[in-house]
Amino acid sequence: MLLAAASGGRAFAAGGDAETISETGGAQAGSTRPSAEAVPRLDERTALMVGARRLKLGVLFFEYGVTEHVSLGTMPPAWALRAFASIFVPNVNVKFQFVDRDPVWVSAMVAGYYANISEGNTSGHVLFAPVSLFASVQPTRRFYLHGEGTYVFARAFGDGDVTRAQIGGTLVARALQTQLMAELRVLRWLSLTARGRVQVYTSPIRASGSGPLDPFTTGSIDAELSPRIDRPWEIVGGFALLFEHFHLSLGAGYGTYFVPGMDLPLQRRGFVPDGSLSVLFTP
Amino acid sequence: MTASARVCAIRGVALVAAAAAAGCGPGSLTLPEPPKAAETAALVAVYDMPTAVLDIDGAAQIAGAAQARLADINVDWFPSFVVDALIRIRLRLLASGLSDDPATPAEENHPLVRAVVEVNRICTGWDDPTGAPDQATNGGVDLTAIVDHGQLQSELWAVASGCRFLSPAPGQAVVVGPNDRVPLKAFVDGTLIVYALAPLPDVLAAGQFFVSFEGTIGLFGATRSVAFDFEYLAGTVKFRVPVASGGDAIVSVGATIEIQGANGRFSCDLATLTCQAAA
Repeated sequence: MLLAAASGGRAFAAGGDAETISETGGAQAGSTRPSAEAVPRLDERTALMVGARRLKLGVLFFEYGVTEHVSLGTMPPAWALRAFASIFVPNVNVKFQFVDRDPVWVSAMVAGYYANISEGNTSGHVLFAPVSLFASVQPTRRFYLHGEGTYVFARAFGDGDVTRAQIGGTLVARALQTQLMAELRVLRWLSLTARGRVQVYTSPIRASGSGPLDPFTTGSIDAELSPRIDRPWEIVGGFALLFEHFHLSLGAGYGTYFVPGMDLPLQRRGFVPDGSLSVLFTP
Repeated sequence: MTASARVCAIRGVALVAAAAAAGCGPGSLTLPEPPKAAETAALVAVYDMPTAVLDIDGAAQIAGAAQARLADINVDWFPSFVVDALIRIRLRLLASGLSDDPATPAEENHPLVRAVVEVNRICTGWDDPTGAPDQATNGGVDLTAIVDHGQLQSELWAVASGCRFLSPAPGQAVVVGPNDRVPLKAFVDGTLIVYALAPLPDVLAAGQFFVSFEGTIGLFGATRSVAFDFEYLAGTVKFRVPVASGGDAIVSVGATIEIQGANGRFSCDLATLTCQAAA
């Protein structure tokens, strides 16, 4: 039984007890636009999109597909930081797929995060914006490769609590990161994944400013925060369950944990958990 | 790839490149070198382990010299001047989430912080009650502290420029004997090195530090050039007295004169200057 419509010239099909992946004709593919609804795809940290007019509510990402190639989103964990830390991090992201030529997809994502680190008589702000370029290729029917290059732009302003430019032990610093993820589609709804991520460049972050302590006293600070780990990396293996309205990915690995979305590495190395859960709605 | 796709691809790459260029921020922070760092550390070590070898007679001579020195420089108001500046820089450090204790190491698993923290304090002047801030008339103090590898460095330094203030400050009357002491009209102009021996103080009584000063001080308008150093340990002042036979003894004056040498401690009577070895 054919389960899904064509997806860029390929479709997943199930027959009897076993599911197989069957390839459709090019003409048929050409007549049918690839749709994220057709074959659930891994759209987090890949060049693939959530799909037009689809809303994804997940523990890591809220995202809405404005069109097939443009989506807007935000990252709930950053907002949720306010629940257990005296810091509020509003954020937004936009993802734009500018190459959709099966089996090659290329997207760019720009995210913006803001944190107010003012306290007492001091005021300060941190702004950071990961800019990511994603490329996904599908060299065979069952195999995807997802590459990523991310530049994290970060700036601190004012003379606030500079140590709060780190959030939960992570440092908001200018950085260049790259990631490669291999995805093996075992079943239509099941993928095995393996990925490696490394931060190849980190720049210390500077914060400076001055302000009055009392009518007779002015205080100033010029500070620089540097990461404790020079080139953080992580290697993670896992799986993803990809249904039309439900995505779950779980994994585990070793290295330096990168906070999803914000792309901020923790300052210690060890066990790296990985997981994402989302529900997708289509009007 | 179609022409429109190529255009979009170029735009995407340009976007990433522009963001990368925008991230080029200011250069690396260069921490200033604390002045006379080696000499200061050596002096602090002398206070920890005095170098003069003393006997009873030598201790008595030191006691006399110490009394004369104290009467000469008359700087019992000086610790409050230092603490006043330290309290302000402590507040600034804490406001930036930095430690006020040089003995506290950087937190593990957190980024390393390097920082220069400066406080400019306009001196309060000789008016009682204190008037509006007026640096041109009353001078000021610029105090600098350094944080390296997430840890406050023990040595701080300050430059006092024509600083006028009352000691004790208005509203902080000190009763000495049966009479209130008249606030001293103090004046400081010079370079001050502070070596924190404990967390920076939030009140005078909590201060524990070594101080080295070189410059001009004065009371009621009479100024003189001086150079001295002392340790202030939560209300007790210890100062260094060079010994003719070599080395330095450390002296504190309270109900008795306590003298610490390399070979032992001596306690001397204030009036008779007779000394005895202390346990």
